[in-house]
Amino acid sequence: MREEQVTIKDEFGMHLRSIMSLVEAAKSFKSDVSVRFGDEVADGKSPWALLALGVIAGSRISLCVDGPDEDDAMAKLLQLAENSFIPLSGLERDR
Amino acid sequence: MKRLSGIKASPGIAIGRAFILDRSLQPVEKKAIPETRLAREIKRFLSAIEKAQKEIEAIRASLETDKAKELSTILDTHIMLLQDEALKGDVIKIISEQKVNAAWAVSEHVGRFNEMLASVGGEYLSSRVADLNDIKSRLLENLGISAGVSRIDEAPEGSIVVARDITPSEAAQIDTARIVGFVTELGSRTSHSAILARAHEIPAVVGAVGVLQSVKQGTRMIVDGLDGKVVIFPTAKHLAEYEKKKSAYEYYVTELLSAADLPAETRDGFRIAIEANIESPHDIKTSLEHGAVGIGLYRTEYLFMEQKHIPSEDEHYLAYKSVAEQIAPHSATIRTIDIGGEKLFGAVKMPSQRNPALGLRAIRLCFARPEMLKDQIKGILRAGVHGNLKIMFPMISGVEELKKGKAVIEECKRELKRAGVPFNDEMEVGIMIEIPSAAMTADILASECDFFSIGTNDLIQYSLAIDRANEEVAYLYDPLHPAVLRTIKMIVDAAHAHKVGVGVCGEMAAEPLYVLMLLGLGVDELSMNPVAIPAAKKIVRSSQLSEALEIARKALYFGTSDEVEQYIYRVMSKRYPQEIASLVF
Repeated sequence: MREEQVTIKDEFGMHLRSIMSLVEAAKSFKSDVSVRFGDEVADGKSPWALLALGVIAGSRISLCVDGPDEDDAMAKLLQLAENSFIPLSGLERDR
Repeated sequence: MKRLSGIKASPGIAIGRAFILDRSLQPVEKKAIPETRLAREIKRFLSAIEKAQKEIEAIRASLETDKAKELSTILDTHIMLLQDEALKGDVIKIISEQKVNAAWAVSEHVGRFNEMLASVGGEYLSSRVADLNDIKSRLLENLGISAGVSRIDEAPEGSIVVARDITPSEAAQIDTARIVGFVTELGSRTSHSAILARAHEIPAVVGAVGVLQSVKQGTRMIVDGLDGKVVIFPTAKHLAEYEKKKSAYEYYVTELLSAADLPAETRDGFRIAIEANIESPHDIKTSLEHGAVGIGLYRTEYLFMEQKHIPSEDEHYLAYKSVAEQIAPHSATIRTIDIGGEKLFGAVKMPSQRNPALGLRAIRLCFARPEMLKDQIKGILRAGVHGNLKIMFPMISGVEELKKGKAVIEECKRELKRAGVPFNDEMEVGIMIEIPSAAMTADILASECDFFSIGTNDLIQYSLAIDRANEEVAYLYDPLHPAVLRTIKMIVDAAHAHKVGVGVCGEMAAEPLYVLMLLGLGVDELSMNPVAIPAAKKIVRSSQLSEALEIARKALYFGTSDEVEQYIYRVMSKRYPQEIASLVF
């Protein structure tokens, strides 16, 4: 079991697109993935559950991975978390 | 005539008639389902999900083009939401525990999420309610409940769609042959209607509160996606004005933007570099789309303003690394912080000054707070490993300051070397020339640095002793003042004698009227707002170097700026009428 904390830096928090990229990544591994925000825990492979967490900009969340490929899974998730789970060019900027 | 303001969501001007999208959701009745028929109800729900998924996949497949990429990503998220076992589980639980109909269970479940999302707040999260409602409507429809089907496919030719908001499914059915514009009451630049409008290149204004009340089916109206305005019942005068704006914009898009990738080379083969001014790594995509061949000025102040704290070395590094990678193989010139003076900023506390433009600002402020400057310089040096970056100091008034700045760079390099951190040891260092004392000593400065960039805004302000912000004297602010033109010429000559390149990065560079004059004065690079790039490049491409030299020679000859202006305007508006007019929007 591995657990790491990350900050969601995206100004819109965890929105559908970032959730999609997290779920896609989580599903590509055998390990169980869960996301903890405050007292709530959500299955990292369920977009509805992640949406229900309501993670807003600047929140700290915990990524928990448990299973045979947990190291690879965690590495991938941390890499995605660097960009708040979406590539920088993914959203157009309001200016 | 009535005018409404909203958020500009997609550029362009549309003139047409209102087509109101009516989407009144029928309330869903709660019905008791007998125990024996619950299994059948669950099966109905599961096939509604399966059907919804297939429908969205079909829509998605129909728009697999480059432009609709964002829209198909949105539809992908819908498919993902429909596939989630948690959705199935939760709805089935409501059906079987409460012994109710599937439609009510779906409606109840999505309703709970919507309430929760809305209560979390945040514009983006709450706007996702549109996604969930779209899914809900589709499921309800598949369960035999008319969800107030939108009739966007019935819009006649020349329609401007007016709606509260637009769902992704509606968005996917847009027929650009008939729909010329969009106005919604809700939404932001990141909402579906906005994304869709940009993808289809349809002018759009979102967040135009009150628009539904102000129009009827077929009302004549104008959507100005360039300024975020909606004009309802336009007068003949407005129509004429907007027709003009529309054709100027269309000329810009079809003739200028489409050719933005072509080099800025005169007919006789003389090249000038046209680069972009940016405020954030996010601006690079737009810069490249408008034909920039590099970043001539990255205003790093925004890093300080956005963050509300002084950025760390790593934060600097990450921002500049992103710039270096995105702009490669071209270069990006990073100006060290130019705060103080008139600019507001969040992260740096400043004592109030009687005359901020002449006070503790830019490089002076940096020398007073060397750690802040060193973090930034180390960030640039480190990011220089990932692409071609240059350092530029603002507000240099003489060679001592330049030497002091270079000493800080050397100190940073020593510290990075000691720490074993990789960095670019060969980075070019240049300065802004914006203070008359720097212009007067350009020859001395040129022997101590690699390039100059003339900041015309401040140079004009300091040369003519004009405070632009002071309305009483603002009229004296004059880019064509003979003193300004002579100063530019002097800087260029001094720089070229030392084989140092000269750019212009102030507002003067972005003015199509002045492009050939600056070229003729010997400027090697123009850096401007990305939007201005295509017109500048087109003018250069249609001209000859001899023509530019002649314009510069004549401009230097006149004794008053009025004469210069009349001359330049006469020559340029005759030669390039549409380019000169192209930036009216």
